[in-house]
Amino acid sequence: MPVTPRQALRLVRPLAPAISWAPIAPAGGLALLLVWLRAQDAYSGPEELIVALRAAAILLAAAAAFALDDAAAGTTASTPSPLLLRRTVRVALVALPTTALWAGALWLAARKPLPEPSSLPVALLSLELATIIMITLALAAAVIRWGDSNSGGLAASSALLGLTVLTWLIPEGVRPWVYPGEPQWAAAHRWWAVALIASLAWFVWAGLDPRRRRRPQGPAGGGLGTGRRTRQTTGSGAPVQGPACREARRRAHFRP
Amino acid sequence: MTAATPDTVRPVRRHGGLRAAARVRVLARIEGRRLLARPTVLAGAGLSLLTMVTLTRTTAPVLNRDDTTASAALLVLAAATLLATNAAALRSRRRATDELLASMPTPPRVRTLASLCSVAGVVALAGLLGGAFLLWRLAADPVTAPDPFELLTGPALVALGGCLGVALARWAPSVTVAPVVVVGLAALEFSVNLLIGGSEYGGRVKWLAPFVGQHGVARELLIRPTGWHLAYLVALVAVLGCVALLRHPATRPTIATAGAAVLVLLLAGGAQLRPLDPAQDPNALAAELTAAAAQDCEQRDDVTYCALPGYEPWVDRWAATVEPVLARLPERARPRPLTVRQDFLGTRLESLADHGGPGTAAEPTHSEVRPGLWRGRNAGEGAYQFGLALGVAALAVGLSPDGALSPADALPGQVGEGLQACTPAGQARSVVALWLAGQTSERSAEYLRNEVERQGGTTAPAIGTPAPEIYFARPAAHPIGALNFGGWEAAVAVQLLRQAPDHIAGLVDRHWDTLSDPATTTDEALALLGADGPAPGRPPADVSDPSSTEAGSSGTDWRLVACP
Repeated sequence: MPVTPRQALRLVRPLAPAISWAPIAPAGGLALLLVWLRAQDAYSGPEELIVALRAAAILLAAAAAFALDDAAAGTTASTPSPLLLRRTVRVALVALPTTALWAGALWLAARKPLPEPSSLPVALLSLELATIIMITLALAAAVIRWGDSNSGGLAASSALLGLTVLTWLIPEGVRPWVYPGEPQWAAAHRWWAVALIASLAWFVWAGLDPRRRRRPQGPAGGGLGTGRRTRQTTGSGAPVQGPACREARRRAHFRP
Repeated sequence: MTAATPDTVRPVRRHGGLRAAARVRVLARIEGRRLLARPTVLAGAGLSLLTMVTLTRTTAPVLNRDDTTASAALLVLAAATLLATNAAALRSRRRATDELLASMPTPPRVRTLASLCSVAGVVALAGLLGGAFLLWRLAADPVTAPDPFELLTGPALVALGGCLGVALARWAPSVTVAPVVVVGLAALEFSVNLLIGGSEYGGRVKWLAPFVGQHGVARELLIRPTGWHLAYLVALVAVLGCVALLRHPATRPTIATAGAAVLVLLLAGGAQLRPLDPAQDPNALAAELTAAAAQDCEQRDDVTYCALPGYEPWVDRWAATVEPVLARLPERARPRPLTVRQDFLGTRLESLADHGGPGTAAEPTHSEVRPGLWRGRNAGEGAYQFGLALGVAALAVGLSPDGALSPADALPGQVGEGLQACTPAGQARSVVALWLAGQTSERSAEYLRNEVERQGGTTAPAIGTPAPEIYFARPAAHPIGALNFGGWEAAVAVQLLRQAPDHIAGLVDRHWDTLSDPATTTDEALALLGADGPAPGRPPADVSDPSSTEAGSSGTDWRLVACP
């Protein structure tokens, strides 16, 4: 069934309350505070501002990581709207305040008088933000796919922090955190763009409905009477597979 | 029926207290094992260890700095512990089993206490990591001694992270809180340490942060209240634990413990903020230590080695670098007297002046080489040997530390100050100095080759094009080592290093007077030393014009002049 923009718009109202908005406000406030503090410091230069903006980007990404968490994933798996569409709407909703906060951080940074206007590369720093957020969302999608539908945000934000530390420890020549004027500036941002595309591709693939991920064999691609092994059934007898199946199995047993 | 007598009656035990303690022990053991097996904690431990090794593998062990490095690295494990304990404490909420647990005989307060006690395992792991790191450094000929309070700060930070995670889980029971708190704490800690800077004057308030680094200032010049800070951290751990327990109906032991912990916190926190005694002025300390070093100098042949207290084992290493340079010099060209005097130059002592601290250290004299308080090791050994040897070689060819102000010394924000820097680029003596430094050892030569390749300058510059520059990072002999020696000159020196050193040394000896003359150009040196490759005869146009200026990377205008 083809997806239409109208269908996406209709999902906004039910999905908006289901998103974890709680971390965005404090993360955004903290991000703005960090950039403002650095902009007020008379001794800080463009590099220090860029460090503050990157810290703000990591904060915003850690908050956006919870956009895909869905306690009702087992229920919504059977809805007609594709999983990828639902996730895209969620990400788009979270992108609105995130973009506004990032614009605010850039505005605060731009107020500081700098020797050259080009010493604050807004476009490339925004590319870095988009890539960090996309990598976090891709990690969250991976955790949800193979684990708990409600733990993607926690795992992804933890992994993001670990990756950040790791990138500071790798040799300088391959480190992604470069500054304007350094020889690797352009090459590093080509790799940032590659990482953005790769994480976006992963996000899309992990967002495909479980039924669509496997090639269908037989009339209905699964279910009773097809000879295919099913793992679990719901109370109504309909086959449930993939992450929803695991979620149902988990809820059937208490765990202390 | 036997009547109960005082001898047969056993005292009545408080079953609730004993049972609660037993429950806490059992639960804490189970939670502790699960905590140690969590991927977040394991990844944090691995990253902490990797951080310790990465930050120190190219520098020789200086234990009074390595202890702070170990604590700094354990911040990663502390953050991981915060996330892990928070997730563990929220497990019942996430799995919707709160109602089930409410029917259990173990009250929530006991479970919270068990969560707090489960952090002990990770704290022990942190101690093991710090101990392993220390042993690794001890095996590599260390100097100075570590501060035991500094070493214990790392495990205390891990305990702090764990208790904060549990407290957040009780008071803000949402999985979204902990990651934001971690990033926020990391960013605020980073900003506070950098905003207030490395000065010990007026910057005492930074000691209220969990971790305070050394900011590149020599440890010998810092008054760090490590004992009070450790007490402050332990009290903070107790306070956070009590905060977590106070989410449940308060008990007398919890209130009493909280009160005592707050008292200790205020006492230790206040002790950290005490203003320094004027006798503990870093300048006075530096002068005292330098004077002590001057009295304990060691004479080897014509060279005097003066090491700061605690760094005496490095004299052998310095001698192993200096002597090969002197051996290749003509007898008449050897700098006499020559002193290798360890100093605090290059450890940002001068930055303290910006914060009301002391001024810069004394400038080096014309017969001194001033190594700093670090020494390269493994991949960093080549850079260190080269830098130290370059300092000796520069003195030998007549380069003076006067006017050797490099762009690195310019403060950000200074514009149009008219700073002047000299460069021997375009001069034959630059080639000679670089060759002398490179031939000291294979590592030294390899370092020069790598720097030339990395910074360009492998081909002769065309006439009219800007002269390639070469700067050596973290010069071992500041400030001479910070000069631009010329990229083309460095490439020529690399060419000479490929030839037999005795042959080149003979040519240098024969033509020393010409080669050490500031007026002799690089092209003339090529002809005298028989180096291969085209010599387009580039005049040093970039440095002969006194009005030539360059914009520094920080926006400071500075002038380049040829070194006299």
